[in-house]
Amino acid sequence: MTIKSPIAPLVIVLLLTVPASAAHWKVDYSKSKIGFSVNWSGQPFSGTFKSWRADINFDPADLAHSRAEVSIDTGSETSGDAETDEGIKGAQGFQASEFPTALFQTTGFIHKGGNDYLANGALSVKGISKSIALPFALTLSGATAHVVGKAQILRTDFRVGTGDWAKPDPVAREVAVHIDIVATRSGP
Amino acid sequence: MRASNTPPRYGTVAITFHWVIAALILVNIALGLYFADLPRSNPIKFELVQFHKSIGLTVLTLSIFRVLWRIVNPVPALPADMNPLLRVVARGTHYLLYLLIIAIPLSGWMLVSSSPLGLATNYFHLFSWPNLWFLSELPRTQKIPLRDAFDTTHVFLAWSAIVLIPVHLGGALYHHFIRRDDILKRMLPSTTVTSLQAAE
Repeated sequence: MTIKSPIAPLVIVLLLTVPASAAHWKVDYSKSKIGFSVNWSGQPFSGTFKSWRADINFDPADLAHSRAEVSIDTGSETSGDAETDEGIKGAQGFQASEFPTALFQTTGFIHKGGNDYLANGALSVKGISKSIALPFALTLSGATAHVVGKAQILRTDFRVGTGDWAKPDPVAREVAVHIDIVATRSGP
Repeated sequence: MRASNTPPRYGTVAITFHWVIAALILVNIALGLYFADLPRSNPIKFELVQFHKSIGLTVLTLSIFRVLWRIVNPVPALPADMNPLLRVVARGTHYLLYLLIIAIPLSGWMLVSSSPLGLATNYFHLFSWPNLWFLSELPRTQKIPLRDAFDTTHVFLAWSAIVLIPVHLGGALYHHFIRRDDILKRMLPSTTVTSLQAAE
């Protein structure tokens, strides 16, 4: 037996919980939006995710202990056209039936000056994890925070668009992921 | 047997057009009915749709040449003693089928071209068959209602063929087994056609 004391597991749980010292933020999902835009057939195209969850601990004065984790239901993508959405979520797109969740986990925050920050993190889509940078602007008013950010990624890094859809035409490989999040401070 | 039509029978060119197009259409109707409800989460759907489009564009190309061949090649006459109403039904069915073998693949091509997905057809994995530019270059918001309209049209026309083909087939079998004339045999290769010299 490696666990010598019956309270050892409890100690481990406590240790894991303690470092989340930055303020916790509760997202107002009705006012928040996560989506993407891409050039499709030479025209701008955008979609949003109807279902996602964000767990945010953030303190501008304590970036070292700030962290955020966003999980997105890839099957909740919607652009307003069923045929397009079926394709995006289908076997050659997000393959949502097999990979239902895309995950973004921050690894660190950098203050760029003024309201501008940079979140570095790992984005996992379709079982592939890549480091990405998410620049965002933070506006604080009282206990409410408004975050607007845009990350530039290559969809082919995550095998979103396989076979004929891997080509840069009709769908460009460069995709902008947009976040617009409103949250209120809900804890220490 | 001659390449062109003769008064008693169809020539090899018309016979080849008829049976090749017939076979391709039957395969495409079966494919269309099969993948219509297949979700895009199924990886086979994309390949089936590409195959269906490749066959359909082949039907369109062949049908254009077939109609041109039909125009310069008078078809054998129907039996002189045939019921006038049945003659109208027979010829009417023929003309509608000629219309459909052009209109069904054309409406499919228009459907594909107006799809906001915007992907060109990968013709039997050989080359990229272009979309109709006057549809594919439209803004996305204009494409969506057109795509829906062509989709409805394509499905309606395909169902028209599903209804008309048995009428056509029934007519051929009626001639062969009930009237016992050479109407069916003259569309088959390597058969001897003796009767039916009568003018229409």
